[in-house]
Amino acid sequence: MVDENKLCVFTGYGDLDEAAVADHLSHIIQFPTIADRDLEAMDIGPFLGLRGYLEKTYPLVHQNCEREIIAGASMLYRWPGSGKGGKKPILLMAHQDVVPVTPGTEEDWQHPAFDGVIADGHVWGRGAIDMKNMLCAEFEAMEYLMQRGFTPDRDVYLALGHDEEVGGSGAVATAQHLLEQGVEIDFIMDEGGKPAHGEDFGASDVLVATISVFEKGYCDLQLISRSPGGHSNRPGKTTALGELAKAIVALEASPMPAELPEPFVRFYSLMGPYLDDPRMRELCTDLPNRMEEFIALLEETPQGNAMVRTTTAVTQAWGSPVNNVLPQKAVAGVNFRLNPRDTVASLLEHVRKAIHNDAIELRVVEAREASRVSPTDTPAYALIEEVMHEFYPELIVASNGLLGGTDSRKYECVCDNIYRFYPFFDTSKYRASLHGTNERISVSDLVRGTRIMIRIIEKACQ
Amino acid sequence: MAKLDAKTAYPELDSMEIARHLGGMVTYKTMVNKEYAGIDWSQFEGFQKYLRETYPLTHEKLELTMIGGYTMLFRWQGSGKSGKKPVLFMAHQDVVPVTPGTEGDWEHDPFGGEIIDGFVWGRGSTDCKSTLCLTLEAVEYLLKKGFVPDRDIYLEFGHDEEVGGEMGAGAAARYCEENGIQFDAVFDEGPGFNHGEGIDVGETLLYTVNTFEKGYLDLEIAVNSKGGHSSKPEEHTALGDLARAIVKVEDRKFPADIPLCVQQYLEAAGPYIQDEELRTLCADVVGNKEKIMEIMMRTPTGCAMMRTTTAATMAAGSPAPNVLPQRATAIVNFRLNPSETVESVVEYVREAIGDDSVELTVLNGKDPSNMSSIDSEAFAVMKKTVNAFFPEAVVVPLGSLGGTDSRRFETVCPHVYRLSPINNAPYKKNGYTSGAHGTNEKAVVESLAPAAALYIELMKNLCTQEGRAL
Repeated sequence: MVDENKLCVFTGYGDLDEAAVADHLSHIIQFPTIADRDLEAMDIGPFLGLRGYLEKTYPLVHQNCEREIIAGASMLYRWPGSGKGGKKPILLMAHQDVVPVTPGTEEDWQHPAFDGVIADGHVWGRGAIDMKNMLCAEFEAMEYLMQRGFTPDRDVYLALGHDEEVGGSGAVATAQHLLEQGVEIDFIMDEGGKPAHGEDFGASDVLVATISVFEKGYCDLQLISRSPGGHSNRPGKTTALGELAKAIVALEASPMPAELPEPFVRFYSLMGPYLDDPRMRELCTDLPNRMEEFIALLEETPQGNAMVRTTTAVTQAWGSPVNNVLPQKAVAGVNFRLNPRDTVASLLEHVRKAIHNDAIELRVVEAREASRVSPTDTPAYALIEEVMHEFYPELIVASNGLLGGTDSRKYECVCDNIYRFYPFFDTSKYRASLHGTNERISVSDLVRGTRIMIRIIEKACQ
Repeated sequence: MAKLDAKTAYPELDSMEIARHLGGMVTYKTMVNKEYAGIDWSQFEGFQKYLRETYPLTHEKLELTMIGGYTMLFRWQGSGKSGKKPVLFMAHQDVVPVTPGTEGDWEHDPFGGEIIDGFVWGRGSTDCKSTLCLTLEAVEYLLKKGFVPDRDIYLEFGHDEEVGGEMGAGAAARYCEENGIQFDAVFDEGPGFNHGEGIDVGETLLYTVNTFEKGYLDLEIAVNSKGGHSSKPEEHTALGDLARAIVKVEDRKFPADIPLCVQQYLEAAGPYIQDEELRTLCADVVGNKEKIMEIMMRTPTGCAMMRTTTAATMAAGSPAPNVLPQRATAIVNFRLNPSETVESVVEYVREAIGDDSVELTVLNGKDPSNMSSIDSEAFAVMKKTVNAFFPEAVVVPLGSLGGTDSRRFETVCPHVYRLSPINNAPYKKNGYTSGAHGTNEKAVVESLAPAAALYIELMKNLCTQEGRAL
């Protein structure tokens, strides 16, 4: 297996205090910044604690930047640039909040989730890879550059949401604030794509950095079937639940149309020669002409299927409250993830046709469209690619899309070039710990990521 | 035999007095639950104390054995002259709770036992404290008159019928078995007077006696999968697989047939059926079986008579919309006709699903009851008694879709009959509904004395030489 620590050729910023970076992240983790959809119900103490810690730890950032508190606990920093470049500002993102530890799993942690223990070359705790690492690296990078007298030639914004994990009202408000101020952003960096070992993509011998240029949409839909109910001893031909079951079967039998989104087409065009699977490798040599076969191959795995289509997952169901009472109402919950080609409206039309039963009511519980697809032929995209190549000359940089959601989508009103990329290998290496147990990051990955952020800011703003 | 008039024959029976007794019983919240946890037994104790005070002779003359703590088994020792096995009259003390949230829909306190507008109001006023009350009224009356039965009469009042009857009637039946007590006939709650079930007999008064109870099965169907995040689902989730299983189970209906009790029902009630085609066909139920089934199975009630029914009722999947279910479950409720057993239904379902990875678990299961003969002496005596008061009534057997405690006594009795002494048919025409298990449960006051008279007459006829003579 390729070792990312050995392959890194970048030797700059040798004076970065690596131990201090790890120590800072350790402290940042110790604030249990758990968000709540209801700001009133949220324990704001840890957020205030974190804010105070940042002020103390990164004095230059707080001296040189304007800061606004938005939506109660989100923060927006502006590092004013010289304006010499005539370029639009950039926006770096991270979220302050973390998910809670699942009750009952506390004991499974090797080190308590909110102690920020540094051991075995790692910083342990909730948020270590999602995404206090990025928050820490951004502050470290800015403080480092300020210490060395660097003045950016354009404004640098830093937006730190407080409730990404529970909806992202902070990001919505921050984006709205920027819009009202007439601020237009050149490009955004947020969580999503990352450098990783090629195994994740079926290419064992290479390192791959993905820059996610879109995120899928989301729809929780309920299918509702009704009947008069009554005692189960005289059920008639079917029940509301039986009718619902037919609808579920019809829906699963009629998947949404498949099409490989453009960012994935480019991903496989680049990755083709390095893929382990000979069939895929061969198809990728002539992808435009062999797309049907390629899609059929991708469809064989859940991961690949999720790339090529809006997915359908029947997850929840409810019937009667009692064994021997006919359900008056039977409900199924279906979760869809929308590819950019589909909209919530077109999805509903598809579902309606697939079920082919007007007696089944459709109720959208929660929905958002797929994000826009950011272009890859921009100076900003090229800049991220260049910086990554400064660290790893052989690494392949390729675009893709995210199955889940991030706060960055909310900034579409002020930015066309939203690049979901954060420079940490450990996000994929320890992905089982993300929202799980024993979340951690290696110190080497943390400091390398910090150096990558310094380099990106420096290059983007000079 | 001359028509017997309850008022003339039993002038001392007073509907209002019986109503007060019944109302008194309703005031005790005799509720149990499946878990047998947190039960307020003082309600049962109070109820039984009330019975002692209200029916002193019964408690003085009859031998009472307490079973499972609160189930009452009375033995009224007869003269033994007839040499016949005893008869058993059943009812249950427990009632179902008022469904939370519906309290406000009651016109009167569900546990007030008030007598208002000609009704006794409250939970249990029909199911089943009315039968319990009328049984004791009959016994008390006969004792007062110095009546001595020529065989033993037993009374059994269970305390957990509504949650299965295991601790009450189940234990009582085992007690009888262990003590060599066998019965000639058992009488328990059932339909009685009505104007037809599954068929339209117009104004004809039927007296329906259930000689059979369908079996019962709650089957859990479960599909397991590894779960995971909903952003990368497999082609089918566990819930999708479950839905396919449900559709297969619903599609594979059980074979239809006319059980013997339904055949006997149609033979007896056939001449009164309004629909000419069905009436004509019922002249030869066996010969016209297919055609009769086709017509009757147009309604859910008809279907329920002819086959083991399938009803998918409950379902559960993942705890969150964006999490793939690791386990998806559904509960399907079956009511078994005589040709099936719990085991055969599970096998049938397994074949229908055709996928061994789908788990089947029997949550609650009981086989169909025996089918009691209508050619017994007890049935004939019962029929004669009903017709003495109501010469126009057509006494018919039928099967019950639900269950009662009585089937537990099959081990000690070949003839189990489920009926009711109360004639509500005229009141139902005017919009009366019993409200059993529902809201505004109530009994018609003026129906009570005639019902007591019917039970008195039934006991007398069963337990005297003249009564049994046809």
